Amino acid sequence: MQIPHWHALRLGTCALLGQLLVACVGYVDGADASKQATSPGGSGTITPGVSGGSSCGVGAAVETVPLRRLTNYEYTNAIRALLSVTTLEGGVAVLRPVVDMAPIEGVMSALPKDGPVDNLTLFDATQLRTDDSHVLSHFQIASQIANSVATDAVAFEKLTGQACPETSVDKSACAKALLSSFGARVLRRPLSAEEQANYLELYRSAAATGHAAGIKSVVASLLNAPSFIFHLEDQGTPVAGDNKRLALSAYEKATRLAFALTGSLPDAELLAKAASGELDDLQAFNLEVDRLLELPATRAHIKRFFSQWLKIPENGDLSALNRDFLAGIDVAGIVPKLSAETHDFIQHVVWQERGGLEALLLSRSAFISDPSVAQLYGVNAGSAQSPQVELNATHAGLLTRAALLLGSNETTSPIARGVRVRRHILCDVLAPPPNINVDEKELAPIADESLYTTRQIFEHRTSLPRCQACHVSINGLGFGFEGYDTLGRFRSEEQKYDSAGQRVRSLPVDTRTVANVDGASAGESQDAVQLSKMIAGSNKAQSCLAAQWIEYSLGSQPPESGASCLRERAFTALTGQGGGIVELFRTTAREIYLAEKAL
Amino acid sequence: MYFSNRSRRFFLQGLAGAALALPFLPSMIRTGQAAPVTKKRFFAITHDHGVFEEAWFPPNYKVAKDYALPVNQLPLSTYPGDLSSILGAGFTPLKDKLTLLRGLDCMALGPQEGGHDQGFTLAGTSFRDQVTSPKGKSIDVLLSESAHVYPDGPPRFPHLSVCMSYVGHSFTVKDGKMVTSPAHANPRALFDLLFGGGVSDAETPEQKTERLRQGAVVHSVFSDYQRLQNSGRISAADRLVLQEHMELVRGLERRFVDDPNAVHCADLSGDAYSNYTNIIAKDYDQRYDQLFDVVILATKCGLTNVVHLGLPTSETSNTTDVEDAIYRHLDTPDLKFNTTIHSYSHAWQGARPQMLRAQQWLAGLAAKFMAKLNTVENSATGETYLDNSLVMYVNNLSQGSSHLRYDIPVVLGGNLGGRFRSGNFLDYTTAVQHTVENSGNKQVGVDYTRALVTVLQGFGLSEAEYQQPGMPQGGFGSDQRSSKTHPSLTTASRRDPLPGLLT
Repeated sequence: MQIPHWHALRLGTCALLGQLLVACVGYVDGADASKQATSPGGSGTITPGVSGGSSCGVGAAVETVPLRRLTNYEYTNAIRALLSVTTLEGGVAVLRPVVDMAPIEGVMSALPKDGPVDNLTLFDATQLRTDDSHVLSHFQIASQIANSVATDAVAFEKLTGQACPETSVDKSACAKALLSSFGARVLRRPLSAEEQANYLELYRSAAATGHAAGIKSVVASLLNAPSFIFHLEDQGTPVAGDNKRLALSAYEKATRLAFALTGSLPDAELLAKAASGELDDLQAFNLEVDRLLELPATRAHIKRFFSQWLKIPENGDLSALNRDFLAGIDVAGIVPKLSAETHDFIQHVVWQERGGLEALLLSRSAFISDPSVAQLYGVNAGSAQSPQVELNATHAGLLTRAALLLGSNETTSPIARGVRVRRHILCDVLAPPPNINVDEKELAPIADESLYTTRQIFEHRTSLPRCQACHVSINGLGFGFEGYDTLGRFRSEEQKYDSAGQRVRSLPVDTRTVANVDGASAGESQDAVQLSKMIAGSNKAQSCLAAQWIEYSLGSQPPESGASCLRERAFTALTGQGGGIVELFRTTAREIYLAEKAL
Repeated sequence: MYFSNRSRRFFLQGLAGAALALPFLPSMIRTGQAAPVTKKRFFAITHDHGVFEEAWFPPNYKVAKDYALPVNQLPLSTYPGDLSSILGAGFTPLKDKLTLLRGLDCMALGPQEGGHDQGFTLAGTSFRDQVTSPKGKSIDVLLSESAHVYPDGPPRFPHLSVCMSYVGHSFTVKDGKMVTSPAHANPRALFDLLFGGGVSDAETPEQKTERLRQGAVVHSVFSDYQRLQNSGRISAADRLVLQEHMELVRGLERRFVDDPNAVHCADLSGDAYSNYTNIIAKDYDQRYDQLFDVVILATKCGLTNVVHLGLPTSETSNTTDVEDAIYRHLDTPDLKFNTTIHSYSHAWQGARPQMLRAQQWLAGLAAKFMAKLNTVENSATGETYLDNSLVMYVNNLSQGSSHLRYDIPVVLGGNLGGRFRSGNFLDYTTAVQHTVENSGNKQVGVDYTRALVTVLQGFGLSEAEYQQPGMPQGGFGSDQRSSKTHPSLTTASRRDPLPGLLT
């Protein structure tokens, strides 16, 4: 992800401002029907305590999640896990590949790219396309792996637990071992008798020309099976005799849990617990959730959630910024540092403080050892060993972190900033923008923009009533962050430059705003810190975080019928006493125990 | 999940008879007669972010009135040296087969509206605005559906889109929305898709065994999907998802069978194509080289007459990791690509070294494609494939930093078997007053849509065959904004072909 380019400033019509950034016609009463956490009986925002009177009592379940294939991220994680085994190295369990991964990684790099097809979707799993090139890529990858496994006796033994030397008399025993070990890991469950028979028949047919050909065929077929390519759940049992409702099998629960928390296959321990029946016990299931939450893979998967949710830039080049504007700050390579600083902060709030959204949006803790980053924030850097510092009172939480305020020129885009908060943090729908043309007779252009602050310019450009239909919900949020420049530095004055890059004047910035955070409150905030407090205090933002996590962890928004209970419980986990973001993760994962599929 | 907008029939038609080759063995290709000469090929090469006009157009040129038409022209062959620093050495040998157009203005959108709206480039309407603008297919898609291009019925692949970018410029309309055409980016996969079904008569027993083994693997997977269709534990919605995937697997399976419709094409002989890589190589020049070869081979073998080639862009955060990598391969010790080409385009003169380098590379790719196409097709007349084709190389913007769309840079290659004049620089700027008053968003000029209309008419399509759905005035392309931003625009002029192009 790169630094967004706030180029809207140069544009002449209000429609363009919205169009470049996301889209806008107006938002639906501040609520996104697809994401808004709702009370069971209505469409309003959930408020604490509502759940007590809801229909979401004990036993209500997560219902059907629409079938989708694995994302490339999940698929490649799964392949890497399948081809690795855990070894003890110096007393530490380490996962090591058993085959040369370079050619396999090479073929996997040819997978057609996943990703949202529009700017309105945050997560890669939400809108997946599949065409012939995906199917072809899956076959090519599977064939490459099949070649590796079939021609490497050492790798075969490590993956199956059975040596299969050339001298073996009963080579079909090797195929059986492959199915019961590697095959069960691929399909995330033991193979049925019918499946075993089919694969053995495939082996025998191909092995007529040699054992290796038989193994190749079986491995390639397994890795293209729908049970591997898709999040397929077809092993459940009817609930209370109702054939239209299936309770997930233990293996399916394990799989859903693993992908939700780690973005990959169940590990050996989780599969073993599914096999032993332990996962059928609620307490044991919950303990397994707790175990998974501590895994590095889970932390990485959750870090990726924050990256996608907030679109945290990972790289970018700020060297083209005006030297006067930079004021001596060395920006070479600073974007990854700011990204890391943001992730360190999130990790601290989530995992160390066990905080909630309030902490995320208000905490001034930071982890800064880099002098340039410290300079941006106006603080003294900590040491590499002890990087934690306290930011000045001019900053508060996530929305005032430099990584989320960056732009690639000297002029801020309050519209882009407002859209980010409106969409990502509050889950409001911003419909596609109309193409509105504004005639100069209707709205005179500003002759000399260097005389006005960015806020004033945008206020003017979006001042027509038909522009305000959208911008009334965007501008206020964006203007609140005008106290930070495009490097994320706090400022009380905005530097104005002429076309030659010469500073011509400084103008005081105005960060007072009525942001209309939740559609009900019309309170004014004086600056971004106060605005962040308003957002943090809104149930809407809490509901939104819960909804975003559910979408990310399940790969889609489940249908409304069961989703409301899940969202309600997630909301309570996030906001209730003892709650927090980790509790959000824990609760939504634990809900999988109750998961059912509706046919 | 949703699937690309190709129909089931499209896939089954498209994949029937193709054969996956792992490893691919060129000797497996059955050879045959070359396809008959055709003069109905169209290639659209598109890219984004604008060009430095002073470096794109020939410098210090003097145009002369000719043709007795309201257009000024300069024979390119009389221009010394390279055409410009961007249209460099690659184009120089092709001067007499090129046409440079200048002075065309996008009036489907305001001069700066819509940011990077890829819709107007080939469809003449807005892709971004799916609400008020008329929705329409791009000209390549229209041509691929036309009996004028395929008088004997559509071939296996009426339309191909090759695009390493997430957003291309080729659009069809599905469910009332403009959607980008599915695109291919992997030379190996594209080759397999097109030619995999060509099974050589000289196939060795070992090769045949391996092919059938792979076919059996695919069949076993297909059987898995079939069994699931009968499962009582799958919802109707899930069954549909699996069914669509199963059809893709079915298409793959057909690549392994002995298909009587396997490709017969003299150009497939030899092993010149044995080196296509499975992997998306970091050497993007090589990758484009291979993609171009496969595309041209497909046209030579009569598999398609219409191709969209999307050159890499970056427009949304979704695309940047791919495109960053592409442009980073242009790094030199003195010149680094540290951010997206999109960001550089907005820095414009502030990132002139990077943008100029990128524009030269992109133009070089277009020139390379045309040069590859410029091999003799008809030995009796000496006509080349390029002569019998029309290549349209066009940028989405004229200037990236402020999304300007006046003076859209267009290069045409070939003459479609004599349907188009070539070898000239046609400058419409001085024929019709060309101004853009940015302050008022007023635009006066020659509508770029007319270039699209000219192409369509050059292929023989009538207005009734290409008119834009939802346009009360008919014709092609949108004139939604004509009343305010384009006071001089008339529907009639929008619908006229450009003077000086068609013979």
